[in-house]
Amino acid sequence: MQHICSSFLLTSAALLLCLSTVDAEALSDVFSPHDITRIRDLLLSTEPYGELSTPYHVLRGLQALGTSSSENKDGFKRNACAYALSHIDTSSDLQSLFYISSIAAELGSSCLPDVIKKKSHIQSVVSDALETEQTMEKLYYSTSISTNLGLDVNSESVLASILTALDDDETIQNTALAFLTASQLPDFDLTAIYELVEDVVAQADETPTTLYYDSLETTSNVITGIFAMATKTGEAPAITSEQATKFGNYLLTNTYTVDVARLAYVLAAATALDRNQYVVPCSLLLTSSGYVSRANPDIQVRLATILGSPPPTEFTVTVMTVTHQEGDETLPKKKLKSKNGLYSYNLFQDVSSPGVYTLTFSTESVGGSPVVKLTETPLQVTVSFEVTIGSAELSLSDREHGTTAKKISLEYPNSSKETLEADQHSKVVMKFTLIDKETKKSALVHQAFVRLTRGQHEIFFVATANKKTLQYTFELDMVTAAEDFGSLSGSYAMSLIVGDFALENPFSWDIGSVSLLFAGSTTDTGDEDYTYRAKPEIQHMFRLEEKLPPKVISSTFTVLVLSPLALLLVLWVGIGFNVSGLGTGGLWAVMFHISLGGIFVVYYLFWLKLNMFDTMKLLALLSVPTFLAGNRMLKRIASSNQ
Amino acid sequence: MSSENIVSVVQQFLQSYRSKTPTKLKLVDAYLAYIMLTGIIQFVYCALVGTFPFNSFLSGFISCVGSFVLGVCLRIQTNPQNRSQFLHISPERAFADFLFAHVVLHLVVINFIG
Repeated sequence: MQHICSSFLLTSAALLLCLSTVDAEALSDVFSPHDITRIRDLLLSTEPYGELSTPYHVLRGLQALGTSSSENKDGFKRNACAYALSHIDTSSDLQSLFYISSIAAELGSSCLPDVIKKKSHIQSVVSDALETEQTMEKLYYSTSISTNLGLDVNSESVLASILTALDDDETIQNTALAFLTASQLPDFDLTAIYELVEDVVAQADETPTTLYYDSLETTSNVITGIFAMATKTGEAPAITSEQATKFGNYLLTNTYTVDVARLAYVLAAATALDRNQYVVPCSLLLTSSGYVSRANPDIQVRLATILGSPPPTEFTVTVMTVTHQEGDETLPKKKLKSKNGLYSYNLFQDVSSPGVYTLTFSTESVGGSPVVKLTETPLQVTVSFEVTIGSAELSLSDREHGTTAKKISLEYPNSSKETLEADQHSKVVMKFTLIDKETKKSALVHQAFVRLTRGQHEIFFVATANKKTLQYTFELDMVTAAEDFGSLSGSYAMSLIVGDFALENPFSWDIGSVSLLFAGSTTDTGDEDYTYRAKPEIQHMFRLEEKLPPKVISSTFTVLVLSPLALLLVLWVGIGFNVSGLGTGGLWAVMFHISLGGIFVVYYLFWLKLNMFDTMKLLALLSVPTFLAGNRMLKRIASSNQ
Repeated sequence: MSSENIVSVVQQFLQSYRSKTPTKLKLVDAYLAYIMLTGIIQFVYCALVGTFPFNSFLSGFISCVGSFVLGVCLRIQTNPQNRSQFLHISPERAFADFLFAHVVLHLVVINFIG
């Protein structure tokens, strides 16, 4: 496993290294002929039209794909023209007239004269629209209408209006429309607008492989606008080859849409990238299979621009480096010759061992060319091979002494009929070699596993190879492996699994069965029960009340506690209680005693059922008469004493 | 000899107590003895059967102790021999204080008895 992981990491690291030095110097893909046919069929099957924008976009798309014979073309053209003409009189907005005029201009002499007949109506609409507000969009539409119909355009005023509109609202879309508008102005100094190109490109969102703006429409307009300006001014645009390639990659991610408008935008921009004189992104494509072997050693590549066509000038392609996944690098620096646009290279001139290889290419044009030059474009190719088992034997040896008790020689693809019996003192050893069918030499693979199964249980081991002798060994030490097996003794089926990235015939070989007896073997417990069940219920135990003393004792003591009262009465009588003096207080005394008695009744009720608040209220009530009566009573007693 | 002395001291004490102590004070003393006895019996009970419920025991015991203290105060204040110290407090006034304090004490006791 480690072997595989490390080589995978090496491969991906190597690839990343290759790609990171030059992010996207080549396009990720190009339009295939199948793509072109599919899109063309899609565009031609949009009738009947629901709105003016549809035929406009369809025609724009078809123009980008180039004219080719199509069965229904004339009928298609007539329908488009008729549809456009039917809408002229009813259209009073600038956009509809823009569509109509563009459709007519595209269809040419079969449609344009009929539209020009209505030019007075069209011109009045245009002038009305421009009177109110001169937005960038309106300027674009009006200028395009005039150009389409072959009318005069006042370049100076239009340019001034463009600059004013840009000052008001400087968005990317408006700048793109400014490019498209300015490129239609005949013979005028457009430097003020053209110098905005670099800024606009710098504002695009970027990923390692693409460049784009927030909508496909804006991106498309920017690209077509930049190259329209380049064509107009005759100066190279301020866009690098990498930026152009990244724009191309973005367009290529949008080719599978079925929306006609989006297709038109993609195609128009792709055409601008394909057919300009300054920066043309290209791609290096593998036309042969990604798998080569000695029987089929040739790799074929071709150069293509975004719409799938070969570059207009002659190019030489050079194989710069050939790197094996393990890291071995060769620098063939071979120049490849082109035969009908295909460049062939026999990989086996420079490599011999199987595996995944990364080739880097560079291109060079014979003369000067707008097509982007490639310096280090990578391509991945796999050299495959087939293996078979050479010699193989299974042996049982003693753990401590190393003596071999039994040897069984194996023959691929047959299973062994003998069963090997191993106990805790022994070691199961398997030795085998893998032979490359073609070179007849020993080979190493990424995956050589030994699998032992018994019912549901399955244990894998890795067979390790000796780097010098290229022989694989698998050892099963019965003591150390007991943990892996869970000490489950029994008869196990043994098989060898061989696999590799570059292997054409990975296989699993059923070797036979072995009987393993582990020390302290456990009985087969079966599968663990993972079902969830409720745990036993916990009964809540309330706090136990403390035991009260038995009622006999409490009752006895209640009597005992009250008994001194009797003693008190006896003593008082003995001492000489002034019974006759009870009347001294008079009425007040009676009232006092009654109130005091009332207070004690309140206390009794408080003990039984009242709460503190109620008690306090009652006490407050009772304390008034108690105090008054008591006060008067004591005064009387005091005065009577004197 | 010492035992004879003790006996004679006690006898003398009792003699002078009987003759010289006013009746009112003797009544109060009897009351104090009663309170003390009640408290002792409560304490013995608690020692016997344990402190559950503790709040009831405390309330009863504190009632005894509080009453005893208030009784002692009353005795001190009404003793004619102490009259010079309590010029502003007449015996009736002392008795009124005694009553009021008892009312408050018993409110607390009843609250705590549970």
